Amino acid sequence: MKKLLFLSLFILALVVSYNCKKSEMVRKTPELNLPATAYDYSTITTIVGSDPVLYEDGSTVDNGKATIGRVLFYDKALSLNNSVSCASCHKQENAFADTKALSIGFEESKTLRNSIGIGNLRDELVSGYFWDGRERTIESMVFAPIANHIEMGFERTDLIVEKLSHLSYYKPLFQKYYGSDVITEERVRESLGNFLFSIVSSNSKFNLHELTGSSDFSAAEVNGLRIFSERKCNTCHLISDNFQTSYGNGGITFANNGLAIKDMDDGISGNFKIPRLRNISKTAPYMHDGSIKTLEEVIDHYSNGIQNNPNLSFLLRNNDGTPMKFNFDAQEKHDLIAFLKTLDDEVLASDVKFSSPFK
Amino acid sequence: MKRYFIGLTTILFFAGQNLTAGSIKADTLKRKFGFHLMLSTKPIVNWLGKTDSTDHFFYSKVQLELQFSFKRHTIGIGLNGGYNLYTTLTNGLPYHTKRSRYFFAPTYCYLLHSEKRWKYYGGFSYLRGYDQTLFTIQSPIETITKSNTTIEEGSSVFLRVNYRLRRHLSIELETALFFTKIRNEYFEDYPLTPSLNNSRPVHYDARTYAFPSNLYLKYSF
Repeated sequence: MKKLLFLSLFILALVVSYNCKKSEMVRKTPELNLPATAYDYSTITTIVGSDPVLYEDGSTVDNGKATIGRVLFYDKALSLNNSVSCASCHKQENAFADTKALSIGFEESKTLRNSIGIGNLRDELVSGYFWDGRERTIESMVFAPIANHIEMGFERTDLIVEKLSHLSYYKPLFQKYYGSDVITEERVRESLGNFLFSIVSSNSKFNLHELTGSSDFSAAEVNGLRIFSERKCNTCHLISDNFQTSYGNGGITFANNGLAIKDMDDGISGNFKIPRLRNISKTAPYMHDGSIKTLEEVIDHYSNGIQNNPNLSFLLRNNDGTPMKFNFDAQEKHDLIAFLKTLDDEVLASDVKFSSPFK
Repeated sequence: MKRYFIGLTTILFFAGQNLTAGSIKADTLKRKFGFHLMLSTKPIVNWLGKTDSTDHFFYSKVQLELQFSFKRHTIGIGLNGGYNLYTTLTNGLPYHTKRSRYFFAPTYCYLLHSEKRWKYYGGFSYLRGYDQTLFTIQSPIETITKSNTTIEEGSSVFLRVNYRLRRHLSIELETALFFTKIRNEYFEDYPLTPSLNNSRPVHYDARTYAFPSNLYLKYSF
């Protein structure tokens, strides 16, 4: 009888496998915390005290639309499984860039490129958006990550409208700022575009230096600016306003197509957007693939790590075609970094009108 | 066809080793009644092979079979079932995977031949299986559900070879031909975006020969 009992217990243990780890989430509809009157997004300027940033047609950002755009930007409902929002990879405290080399998509797959920081999009109206410049308007750019099968998974963008219509907080917002509660794809694009266009960095130490001509730059920062100009870093990395960004191949070994995606031209494969350096110390890791972790390593790369490849920018080649070596010494490196940090805008990183509107 | 050939040849080979016309030893039928408990070694095989060997190999889903024998006749009921619930996190959201399944198969088999430690059975079975995997991802916005359900129903004919290891313990190898109707239904439910909802029912008939279809440890009381 004992044998039978033991055998039965053994069988029971073997046949019935039960593994339960409960983790119930209390359903609580997200609530908004918006001011009664929309924040002012329309008077944003690239330099404090200068004229407002305008679209190409001369119009300014609409406060109401930008308010809706802010909600959309932070709303995880824009991903297929509600797990990520635009802000998941574009973090305000990191100048709207990501701290991960390759961002994590809605199903935790890695994206193909590092999330580029958002800011001063006026500078990219001509050159195009994303590392490869494949989108030419902000309105088309905003839906690309949403529709991407790795990033947010909403491959049928027309259905975003259907989803947003079922969320209680959108219709009142559209009613308030568009005059009707009808949610359309165009309105969603426009609202997101207005919000992103309003993200402008204008309060860095360098901005003040440009505006007033005088500054409290330290000796290291002054020397860093001098090196930056003398060694022609500013030929590619524009730091003044009203210049469009351009493209180039910086001699990174890893390249996943770059401009070729847009133009299908092998000759410019591996050419990526040369980013403005605003808030550069906040946007690590660096390069289109996030392969360089720190500013020091970036300078080391240009100092003696540029890899040769057929598409390497001619500005990074010696006369004999070999890759240049900037050979920055320790002091130069230190001063360059000190200068680059003057491009940081602490106001933007904490400005409440660009923060999450959800409670 | 090749599988049929290999399976049947193997069974006949073992049968041939012991075949003596009309030979059923007296002790085999000494006890008219018998109770048996068969336990499938499939989980061990899967563990050793690190794979779920369901395709033409260990196709039978019986994990446990309780048998009652009377002289040459044996009736039994094969069973399997399980319930698993586990949770992982996707970007911080709980992702539940719940699997529930049951399987039962009443069987009849006939002792064809017995010699020394060997016994040979032939039989048939009705079988019905249900296997559902339910995925839910929960967020404050909505709960998205995906489900995959397979219902298999049909019958099988089989041959079994039993080898007695000890007085009460034996191993039994089975080869079987399954005739089943399989209904598979997959659906996705997005409460806030009904246009994304998706349902894919697939129904088909299947004929599957498996060698071996199962390998049991058998305890005879």
